[in-house]
Amino acid sequence: MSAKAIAREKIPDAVLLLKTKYRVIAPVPKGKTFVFKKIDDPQEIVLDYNTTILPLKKFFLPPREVLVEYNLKKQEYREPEIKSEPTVFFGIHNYELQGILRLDYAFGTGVKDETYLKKRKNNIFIGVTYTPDDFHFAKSVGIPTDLKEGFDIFLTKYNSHYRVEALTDKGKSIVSQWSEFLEECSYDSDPVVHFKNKLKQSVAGIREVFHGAYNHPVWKETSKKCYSCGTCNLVCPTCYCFDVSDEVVLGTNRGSRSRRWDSCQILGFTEVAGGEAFREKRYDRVRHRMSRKFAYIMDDRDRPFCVGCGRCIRQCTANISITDVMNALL
Amino acid sequence: MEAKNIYVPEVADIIKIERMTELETFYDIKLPGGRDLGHEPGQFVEVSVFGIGEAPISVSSSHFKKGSFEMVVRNVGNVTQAMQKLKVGDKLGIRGPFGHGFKTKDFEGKDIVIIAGGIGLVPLRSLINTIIDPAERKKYGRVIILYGSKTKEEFLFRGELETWEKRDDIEYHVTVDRKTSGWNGNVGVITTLIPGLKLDLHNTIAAICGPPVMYKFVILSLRSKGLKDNQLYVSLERKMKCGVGKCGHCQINNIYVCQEGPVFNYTYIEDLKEAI
Repeated sequence: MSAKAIAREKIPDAVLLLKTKYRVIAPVPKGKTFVFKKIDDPQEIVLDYNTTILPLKKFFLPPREVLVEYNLKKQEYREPEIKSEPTVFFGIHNYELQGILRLDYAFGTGVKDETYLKKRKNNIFIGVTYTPDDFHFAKSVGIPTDLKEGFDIFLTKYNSHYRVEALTDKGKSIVSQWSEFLEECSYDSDPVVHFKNKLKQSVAGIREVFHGAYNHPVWKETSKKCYSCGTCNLVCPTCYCFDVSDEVVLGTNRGSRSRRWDSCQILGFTEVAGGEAFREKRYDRVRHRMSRKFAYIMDDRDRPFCVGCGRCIRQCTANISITDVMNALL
Repeated sequence: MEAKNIYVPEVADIIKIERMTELETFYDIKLPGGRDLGHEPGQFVEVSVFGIGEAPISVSSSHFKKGSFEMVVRNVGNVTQAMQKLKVGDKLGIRGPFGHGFKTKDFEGKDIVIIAGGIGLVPLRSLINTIIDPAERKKYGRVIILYGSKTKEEFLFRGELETWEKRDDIEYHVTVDRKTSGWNGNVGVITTLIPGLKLDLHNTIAAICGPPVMYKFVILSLRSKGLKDNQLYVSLERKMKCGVGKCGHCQINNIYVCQEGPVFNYTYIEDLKEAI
């Protein structure tokens, strides 16, 4: 088959062109790992990376963001200005975008959270294939490496070049402007991808596994290792629980109410003013997080809130693996 | 049209404040233009104090009260402590009402047992004042109120308790955990009031609200009396931080209390391990 392709060395030029119209966010190296960052110099972009420290959620649900502004003297509350700068997210793995799609479901279903939804306007996603490392298990949660849902453009790596597929009108418009960087290439089939980390059972029906698993020994065993540090929550693409707190700028009448990322692993998460906490034991909290990922919340297509990025395993301070925990249940 | 931001409170006026006990204070709140809150009994609002924060507070008046709504706040956290310093004419932020309350339409023709422990009386008062409203009372069968308090000093709505005691169409029973001087009534936990009740088991519902430890024992006691799970309604306290089903703090297993509760038919939550 024949298709359009871009050589790796031409990608910085292609990104430079994007930068004339858009803010570009892409993965760049940081020490031994990678982060998503606003790109100034397209040469710094990496396309061969395992995963970033934090998921893309930081752009749509920032670690701290103002929900309400107020004035103590005027005694009025108002909505802060919420910016949605036209942005291209470049070099994104598909589990990453699946994480955003789950957040879209969480913030857009039931009561609509405009603070989140406004930032989801004017986004363009350009995906890239990846080679799973020891931690990725996206295929086990229904996200094989060739799933292109949600992308405007998708890049599939072949040796030193990338096949370019425009998947939406926005994507086609960008690809047409890239013509000088593109060449015709022929290919037989997509590269074969193996996941070393996997769940014993595919994701269909995984919710049922939790029925009757409430007192499974894996919760207590896992909790013996867990420090309740909450790292798994912070690095998770689909953990969106937040705490809310007020601040007044000292010496002024200006105040604001912000939300911050929170962790269901911390005892105080459920604690009410009277002092009662409703998931008092550490194993209650370990079970809660796993249940939330695979059973409590599903999107409208019955897909779980775990996207198999493996971050909670890579970055766990106690070497707890969500796939080991799940495989103990399966 | 710009979509409404769910986090921006409306500024309301405090039109009356009354100290009820050492810890609890009553507030009467007027929304802009005296607009009705439009709540059902058992729902809650998120209350903001400028510069301090926001907390979920039960609405204590019935929706028949026009022009303003009432709450009773126990001084236990930042927001409730800051509320102690407010005066009539000061302003609060209000969001809500949120969640689901008691569907009184379903209670029509039935005997209603109300079981209130401590400040559990605050949300239940909105139900009580709905069903004992003179124009409404005949829609329901017997109204039985069981109220338990640590001591008589902690009684809330004292004037109303006396009225309930006097009214022929209300059966009012009260107990205290600990006798203090001048108390000649029942002493014991609230479940001690249940065995003596004579109930029409086929036509009774019970509405329960109190401290977390209370539910299990009250439910056991009502079941042994012969009431079925679907005749029991509970109002549950959780940390309802956002009120709109996003922040995650109020979740009981897969249920968001701020969305599906805080009032539940017991059959809806009895299989949820974290509920009671």
